[in-house]
Amino acid sequence: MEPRQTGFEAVAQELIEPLRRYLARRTDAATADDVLSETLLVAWRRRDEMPAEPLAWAYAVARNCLANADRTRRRQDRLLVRIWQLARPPEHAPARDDPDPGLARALARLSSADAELMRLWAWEELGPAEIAQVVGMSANAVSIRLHRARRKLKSLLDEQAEGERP
Amino acid sequence: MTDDDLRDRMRRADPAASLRPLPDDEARRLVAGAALGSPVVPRFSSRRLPVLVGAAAAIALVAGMLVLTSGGSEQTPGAGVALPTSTQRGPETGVVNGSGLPDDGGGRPSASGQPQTVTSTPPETAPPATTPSEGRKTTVAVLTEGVDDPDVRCRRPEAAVLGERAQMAFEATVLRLEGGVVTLQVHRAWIGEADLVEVRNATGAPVLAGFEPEVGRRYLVAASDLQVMGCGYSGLDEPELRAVYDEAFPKR
Repeated sequence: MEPRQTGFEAVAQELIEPLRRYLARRTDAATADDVLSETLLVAWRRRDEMPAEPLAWAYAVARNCLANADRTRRRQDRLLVRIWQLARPPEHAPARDDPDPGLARALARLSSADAELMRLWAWEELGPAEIAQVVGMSANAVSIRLHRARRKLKSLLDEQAEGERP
Repeated sequence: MTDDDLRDRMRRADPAASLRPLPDDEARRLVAGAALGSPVVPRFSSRRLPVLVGAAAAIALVAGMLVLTSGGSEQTPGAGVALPTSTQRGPETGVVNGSGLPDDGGGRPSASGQPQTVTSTPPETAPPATTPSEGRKTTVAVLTEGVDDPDVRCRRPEAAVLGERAQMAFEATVLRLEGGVVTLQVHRAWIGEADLVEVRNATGAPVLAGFEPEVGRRYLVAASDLQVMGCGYSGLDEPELRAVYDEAFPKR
């Protein structure tokens, strides 16, 4: 076995669980399985570009693979449903076992880009520089947008809390 | 609320919190699959295989039925249905745009490159390449049953809600019930298009979106995001429900 492959395998083993969590937070279980496999395959093909700290890079690969999977699904859906109907923003419907529907509603009111920054910050526990690597923005821009997104999310949650008071 | 409070609240709602780690041998198998250039889907996946096998069986079933029902002529929607159709040629196809790689900008999906058609149904579960329906227009909408939330109380179906949410709404007869797949022949679509629709009932119960389909009976079925709408929006073809459909889609 070539040394590089050994190195990749060791690193990939470490990446699997964070990638599984990343995907579980953003798509259904079956798609997550597919995209995880695809992500590992792409990571293998591009292993020469893998940085010493590969997590944010791997998230970026997964993010792109997931976007491809979504595009494929939309293409298939277009065989069934008119494009303009699918293009409508989906109504937010909290999952049955959503532990915090209020938070889910508030996140849904952020722009999708801001909501993703919040997820990467809170769930993936990334700092601005790492988030920047995942989403393809500058670290400075991420810091500013993250700050605004947090402020807006807090404000939305406060509004909810006000509304629920008797 | 501080930033820490906010992050704590988000963490408590983390959808991946209950995700159990993969067994070591499974993780090794995944990595080995990638290194061999052949991605593998985790074996532990509970839904994948049955769904694909079910889909293949259902597609084969539809292809077979078309031979029986079409008499060699094209299956086209009625005059009142004017939506695109697909020509089904064995496995479903999809388009992958880009390579799945992060671009130089650091991971944004690539928007460049020509789309390439790929097979999305594994070959081992696909019907033969030369299906009897090749070249014949068919549209197969694979719907799933919507989640039935016991906490949700249903109000009477409202045309405004139906019109707003339904992406497919049609009148159809149940042709077959097999293996959790309900196959419906569409007679008229208010919105959306299909000649045959398969509804995959994943619940294991005979009831589908609140009604129990019977072969030969006619139903009105609405779907949102490829899920059958329950709460009375789908059911037997009866004047009251039909009036809701007619009001929801007055142009058809």
